[in-house]
Amino acid sequence: MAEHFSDETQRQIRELAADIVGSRAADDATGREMQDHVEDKIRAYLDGEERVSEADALILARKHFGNPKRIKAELSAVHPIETAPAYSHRLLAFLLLQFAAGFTLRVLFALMQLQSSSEWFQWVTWWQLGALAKTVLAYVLIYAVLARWRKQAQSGRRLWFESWSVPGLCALYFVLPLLNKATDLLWIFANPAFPKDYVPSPAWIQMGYAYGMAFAIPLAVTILMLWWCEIKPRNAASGWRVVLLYFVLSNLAFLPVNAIQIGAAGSQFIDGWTLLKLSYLEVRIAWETVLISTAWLFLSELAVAAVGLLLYHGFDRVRTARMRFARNAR
Amino acid sequence: MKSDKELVGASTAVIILGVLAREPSYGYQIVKRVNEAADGVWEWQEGTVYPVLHKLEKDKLVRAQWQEADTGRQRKYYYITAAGRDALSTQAERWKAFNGIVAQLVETPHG
Repeated sequence: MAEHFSDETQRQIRELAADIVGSRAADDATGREMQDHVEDKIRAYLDGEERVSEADALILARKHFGNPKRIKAELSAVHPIETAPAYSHRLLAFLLLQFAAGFTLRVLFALMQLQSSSEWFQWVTWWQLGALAKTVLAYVLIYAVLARWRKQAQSGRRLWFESWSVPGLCALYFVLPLLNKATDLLWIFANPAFPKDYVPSPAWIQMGYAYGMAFAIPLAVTILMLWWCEIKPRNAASGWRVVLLYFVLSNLAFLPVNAIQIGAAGSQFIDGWTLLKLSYLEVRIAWETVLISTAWLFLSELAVAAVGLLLYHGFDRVRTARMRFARNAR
Repeated sequence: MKSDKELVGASTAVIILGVLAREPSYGYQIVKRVNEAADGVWEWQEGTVYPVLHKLEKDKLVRAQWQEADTGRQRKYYYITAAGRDALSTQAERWKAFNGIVAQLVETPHG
């Protein structure tokens, strides 16, 4: 039977007691009682009195295996280790993909509108339905691409954005929105004849659309992004960090676009937010208005994101409960 | 079968009193006896026994004294008090009644 433990073991036993009763009380009666318990347990293991369970064996095996982070770092020095993309890369890839999907559909819809001779089609695409279809399509597209990327990452393939640096991806993300002006140019050069008699959408549809989208989009984005970043739902801090960073970046990236004065009238029409006929070259919103509306938008997005986080957490609880039920039923 | 934490938690005090009613023991020994008796049906997280023991001591259902164990080392032994025996008797009756009701209600009806 082991009578005396090494200094290191004694120190760790004392530390454990100190964690429970505080360092000053570690040698008091309660602290001493805790230390005795741990010592008895260690002796029982050493003497073979205490059976080593599978869970105990796992702890021992892990302990003996060494620090995974250190081993990973050392292995990485020998050959590349397959790892999941970092949060920062995933977040920026998500933002870039979101832009790419939106931009592609924006151009596609503009071309369809310009080429279609059907007034009905033009009327529909200028109305909220067009924008709604575009938004839904964009998120279906984003989901499809993300699902593919996730599958590739899980199979150990290195994704394209992993070879980029974070500053490089950031720069790309801040420059690309300027391309949105290209669709405005498309309208300017095409100089389409707007339908003279369109049916203006009622105010309640416009309001419903505006508020509905303001809620639905951040909600979809939050859930989609948490899923893409594979954040464990109970890890609320990581969830908030990623969501916060997403909304900060997504709002910042579209501020410089406002500095370039090319008529936004085309985009106003394409987006279907309004049926006002604006002058092609005069649309640039005052900075004060942009900043105030961005701040309000940001706050409302965060409020919706909180709902998204709760829902995501709820989904996980249901999923876990179903898995537990299925396991118990077996 | 693994027991629910809540069920084990609620029964901890009465189980400890039951163990001490047989003979005085110290924390490690109590845990060992209970885990052996449970035979894998549940397993106590060892440290969690002490808050319950100290609460029982505070409520004067057990008393403690440092004494030499069989191993020759000083250990804090817990003894059940008269009040502890009364409490054990009352709680044991409650658990038996509870157990009977649960068994009766959860029994799968036949035919």
